[in-house]
Amino acid sequence: MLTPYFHYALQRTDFSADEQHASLRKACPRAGAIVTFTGLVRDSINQASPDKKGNIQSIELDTYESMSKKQMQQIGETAFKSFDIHGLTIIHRFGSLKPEDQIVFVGTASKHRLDAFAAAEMTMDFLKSKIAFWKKEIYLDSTPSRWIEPTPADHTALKKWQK
Amino acid sequence: MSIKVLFFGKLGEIAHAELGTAELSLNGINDIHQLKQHIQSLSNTLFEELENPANLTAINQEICKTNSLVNANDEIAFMSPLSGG
Repeated sequence: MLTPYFHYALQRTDFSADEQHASLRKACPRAGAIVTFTGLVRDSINQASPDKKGNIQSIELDTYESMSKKQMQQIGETAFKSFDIHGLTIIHRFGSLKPEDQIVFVGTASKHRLDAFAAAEMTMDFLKSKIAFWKKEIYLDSTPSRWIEPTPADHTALKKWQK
Repeated sequence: MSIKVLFFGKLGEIAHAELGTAELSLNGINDIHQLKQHIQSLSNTLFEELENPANLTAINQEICKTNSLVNANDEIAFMSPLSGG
């Protein structure tokens, strides 16, 4: 039996989603499905018109690094217990990021697609509101910068995985 | 006994503004309630933000209850609502 592949990292630097996908594929040769998710910085919140430029200049992502690493480990353990997956990759960036920058990468590998999809979704839901990260938006105009808090949708998403 | 106290998110920003740092080293603290009282003596603004019920508190990187005891060398973190991803 192959040892499950679990790679996680907290980093300031950018990552290559292609390279992470390739590493996951190489580490999980018996997988029949790989699902990847890449989260990006938007230029606006709830922008009604997709062709109108948003007013976000940058976001500041703060983290409690030692706690976040523990939590990523716990999220990985939960994902492997909950789903029949062969591999999991989590990369989360911190520091100052600009619109279109990559923030987070989640990749899952499994024999069949449903486990890979569900494990990726659960991992992202946990990363959104259960990990020691804080996000502050800084605007191009005179709008005061503000700290982002989990939305009702984030809480609803999390409840789905609570047994 | 000495403990380390950290503030994150909006709390970290307020701690910086009010205390000049988001990291304290304190002695003679026995529980979280007593720690909050001490913080109130340093900054009422920071204390009021600490009272936001959506905040979380951690001892040694594990979420704890608001009335938990603290021990020597513990690392206490006061955290604004989390927002990753």
